[in-house]
Amino acid sequence: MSLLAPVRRDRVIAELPPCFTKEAALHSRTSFHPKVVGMCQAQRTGTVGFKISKIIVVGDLSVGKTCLINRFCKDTFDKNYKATIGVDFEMERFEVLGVPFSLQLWDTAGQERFKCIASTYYRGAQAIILVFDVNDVTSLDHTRQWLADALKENDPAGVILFLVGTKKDLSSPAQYNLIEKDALKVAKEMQAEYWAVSSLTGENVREFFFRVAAQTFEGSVMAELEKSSARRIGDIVRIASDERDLYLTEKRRRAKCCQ
Amino acid sequence: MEEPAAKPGAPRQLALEQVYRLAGSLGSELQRLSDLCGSAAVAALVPQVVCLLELLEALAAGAGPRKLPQREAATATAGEEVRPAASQDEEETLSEGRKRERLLQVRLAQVEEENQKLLGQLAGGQSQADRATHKEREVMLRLKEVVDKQRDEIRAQAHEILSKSRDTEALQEQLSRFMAVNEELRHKLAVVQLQLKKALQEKEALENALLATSREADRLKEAQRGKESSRPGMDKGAAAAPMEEAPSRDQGGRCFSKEELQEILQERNELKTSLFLVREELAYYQRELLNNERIPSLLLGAMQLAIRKQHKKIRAKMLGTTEESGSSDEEEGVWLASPDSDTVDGSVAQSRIKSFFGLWYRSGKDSSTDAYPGAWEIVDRQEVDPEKEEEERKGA
Repeated sequence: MSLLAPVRRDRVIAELPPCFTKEAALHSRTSFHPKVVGMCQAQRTGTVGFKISKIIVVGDLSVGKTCLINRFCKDTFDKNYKATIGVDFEMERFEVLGVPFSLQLWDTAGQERFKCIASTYYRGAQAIILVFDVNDVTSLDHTRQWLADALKENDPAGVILFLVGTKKDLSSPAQYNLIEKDALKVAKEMQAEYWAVSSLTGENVREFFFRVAAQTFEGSVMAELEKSSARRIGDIVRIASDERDLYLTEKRRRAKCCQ
Repeated sequence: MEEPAAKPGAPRQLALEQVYRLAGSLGSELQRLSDLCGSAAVAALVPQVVCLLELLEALAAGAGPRKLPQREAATATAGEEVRPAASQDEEETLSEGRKRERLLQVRLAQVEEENQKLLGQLAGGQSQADRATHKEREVMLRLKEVVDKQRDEIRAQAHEILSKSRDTEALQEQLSRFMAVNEELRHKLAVVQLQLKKALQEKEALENALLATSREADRLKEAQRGKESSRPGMDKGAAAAPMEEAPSRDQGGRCFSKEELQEILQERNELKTSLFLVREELAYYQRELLNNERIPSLLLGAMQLAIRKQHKKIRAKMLGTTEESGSSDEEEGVWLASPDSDTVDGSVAQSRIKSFFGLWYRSGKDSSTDAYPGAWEIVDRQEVDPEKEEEERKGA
């Protein structure tokens, strides 16, 4: 039995969602890593946990970070600009390969004067979404700086990067093709996955966030696998010695955590 | 007069005559008796008397076969001869008596026959009655058996009804408990929503104020820059500093310092987290109610406790704060043993019991302490509800 509420049907991920373009994708696989799939199948008999991954969304002011999040989480769009004060967050619950999984999407303020407040929320992110306006080349250039700032608080090897161009509906195909070249170059530099979306029309928004959820999930499971396999031997020994009194073990562990 | 004449055959003639006389008197006597007491009184007597008289007659007359056919006539003539005066009506009476005798004899035979028949009938009737009582007894016994069986059945049914009604009572009690829980949750949700609404309003007001402040600050900055450019001798370092503190200084009571803003944001985040958790909890209970699962109150209490503890952990995770009691025991390795499927369609996964005994179902429990949160932000159930497991043990 789960202590968690059920997940919405339209937030169930059973297959790895495809990337936007193969030119700038995190990897070229078309399905989840077999190890991850096996793990998810095996752990179904275990107990309940609550997994949250922290995602931060950064980028210049008024590129559409809040709109992007609102389109996905609330399916709304507000044309009027309203600056985000400091930070805000939205929770989005998924079920990936049968495992409940939550994304906490941190929407940060793009305005320079809120940067000092917003940056205190950067820490502990599993993925960084760098947002720029496809109609504004400078916002694309600024993503490098945003990334540098975000990486000050995070382990560069442990985070997954996404570069997202917004307001695609406002750009003509020719203009878009032009900026896409630059964006792909930047994405490759950063080793980020590139996406272009429109929060107004909703184009690619859902696909993008599903990809984020799936990749974050997979990355975390892989990291866990590595860690747990490194510790396996010690665990077996420990568990064998405790086997006779599990109740006592429980007590001891609690006592330790309450110190 | 004739007596001396008949002296030589006197004993015989006399005897015969005497017999007839006797018969006559007896006949009249019998007639009288029958008149007096009814024909039935003498009915039995007559044939014997007749028989006797006949024997006497035969004896008196001697064994003369020639005389026998003419016996009547002989008697009559003898009577006439002996007593010509009185014999006429005597004979009549006699014949009459004889006729009556015969009649009575016939009747007697009939009656006897009838009697015999009735006796036979009576005997038959008695055996029939015997058989009837026997049958009746059997029927009664069978009836008793049936009644006993039915009584037992009724008792069993009464017992069943009793236990059923007890079950019903228990179920109703449970239902009312659930209703109470639901009510409580609704109330909580309403409260939190209200708080959130207020907070959002506050936020909006703050945003407006901030916007105005920042505009003012921008304006002042511009002005300052203008002054700086006009007075190039001024210190550059001094100009950079006020930029950050501008909101707090510029408009006195109307604006907020960075710390205040951070506090407000923190509060907003906390409220949002609360709302999220309460919604989760509500959804959980709604699902439980909809699934119509029967949960013993002991388990329910334990579950509530577990949820509350889990929520505390999730809250800490979401807000990025560390729990006072030591979230240092965060485990990343427990992913192996993490959740069973959270169902999409709202049906409860099968292994509820297993989940309560989660300890036994995990292979690689990792209790190593990591100061830094890893890739996973996991709030593990085992961490969260050891109480529940204890409850389980007590209950078991």
